[in-house]
Amino acid sequence: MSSEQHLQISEWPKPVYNFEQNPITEDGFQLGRKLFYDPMLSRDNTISCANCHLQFTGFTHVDHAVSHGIEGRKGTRNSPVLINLAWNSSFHWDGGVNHLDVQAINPIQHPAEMDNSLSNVLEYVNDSKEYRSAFFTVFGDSIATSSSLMRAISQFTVSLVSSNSKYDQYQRGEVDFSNQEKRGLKLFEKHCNSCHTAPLFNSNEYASNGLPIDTAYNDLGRYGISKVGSDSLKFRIPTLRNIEHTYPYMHDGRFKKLREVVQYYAEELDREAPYLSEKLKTEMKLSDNHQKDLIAFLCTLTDRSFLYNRRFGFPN
Amino acid sequence: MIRLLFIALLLSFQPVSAQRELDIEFDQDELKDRYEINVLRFYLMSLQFHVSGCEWYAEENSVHLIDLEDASSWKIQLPKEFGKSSIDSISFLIGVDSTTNVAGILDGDLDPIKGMYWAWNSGYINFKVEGKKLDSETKFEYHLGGYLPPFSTARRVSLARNPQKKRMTLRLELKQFLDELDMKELTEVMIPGEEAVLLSDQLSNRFSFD
Repeated sequence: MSSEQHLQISEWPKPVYNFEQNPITEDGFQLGRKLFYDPMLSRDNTISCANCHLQFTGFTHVDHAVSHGIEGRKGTRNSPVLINLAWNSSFHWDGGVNHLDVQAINPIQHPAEMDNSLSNVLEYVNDSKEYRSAFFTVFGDSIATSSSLMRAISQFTVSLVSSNSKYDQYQRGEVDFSNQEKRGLKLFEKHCNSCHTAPLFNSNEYASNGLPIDTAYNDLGRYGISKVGSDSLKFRIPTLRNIEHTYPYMHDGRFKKLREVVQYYAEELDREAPYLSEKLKTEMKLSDNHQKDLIAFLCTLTDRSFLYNRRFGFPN
Repeated sequence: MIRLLFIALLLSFQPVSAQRELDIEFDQDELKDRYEINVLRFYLMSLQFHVSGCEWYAEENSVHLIDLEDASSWKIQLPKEFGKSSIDSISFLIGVDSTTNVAGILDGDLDPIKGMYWAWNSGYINFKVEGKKLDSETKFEYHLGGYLPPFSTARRVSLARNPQKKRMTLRLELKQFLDELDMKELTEVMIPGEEAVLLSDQLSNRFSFD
């Protein structure tokens, strides 16, 4: 794995992540992987990053509308996938985090997640012979600092690249789509691609898809960060890569099945909902069969060589 | 011989004695009958000095975290090249500029461990003061920060002084800043937004340079 490898996916836009500030090395990747899977990062040593970001489900928390941290404390949002993060310009559902290298401070400190402090984590890694030697190899200093700790975690998370789904293989002319998948692709291009834009199937933007507010959370999304009224109820437009496996869906995990999501956009969405994205104001005319075709296409975004890549799994 | 050595010693010590310091202080004595201050921590960034008859001189990598708990942070050593030249103006940023706010993870005074960083809404807290108003027992916490327009809060301040004076002091009039706030209405600012902008504007008028 090298920095260049990320930059050389043909036809893909240039990554947002600045690899010059944190050149990816094999040792750095392995150090980040070790940290990612280490429950000692949490205050009571029970939870690692992987608890809410499981590889086989696109690094999200399968079957959990919202995730729970230490002592079963519950959060308020669905755990986001960790896929192709090098192309994201902001992180979290509200985009509150402006750089991948500062993201991991959040789960470490959040009372409903790891409820720990950066100083405690640094103390722990600096007390460990194994980590000291790894930090020396990667950063030339056996004493970890906030900066080397965070950049090590990024070396792993930024390497979680999914670019070998059936869709990608079809684009490269290696496989063919079924007729249903082809019909689904056409429908996708017409109704979905303007926000979930190929090849990343996301946008680095915020939009409201008209979901009524969940009164249990009263989550105003981007407004909570920007304090600009027009940002109310807007959330980051997430990637749809591996969407077949990343259920439940939406920022609060309110939909369990992909067909519920498609049905929502096709039949239930209130086109006059406040703050609704302009792109959603015209009705999508999707028959039952159309909806099935669309789902068949969405399943071509599954990338088994990503979900089952042993390099991304629990370190040996 | 001894005399020569003495002169040589004097000469060799000269560059050291020429090193200038900028003292930073706040009106601790004036405010102590009215306020108890538990936390006072703020950034001064991008310091520039105007040397009489010369151009502006910008300090390199200029970031200073001033912290009530760290006495040494209230003195800034000026670069040697200043020598004895008289400084008649200073210009600085209260807080952290927007480029630094999006630069990712940083060490030193900008290390998030210093308690001046918001993780959930990435960005630095420019100025933090926590304490109690003694007459009404009102507790207050003002954390001023935010770099995204329209609520950006770092403020550039430029101040002149009498260049003849030997010691150089940058003074924060904290009592005035706190007196100006309506503590019946607003005892807490913990997020970027309109209030942080308003307080940052007021704060920028509460420095003096002498």
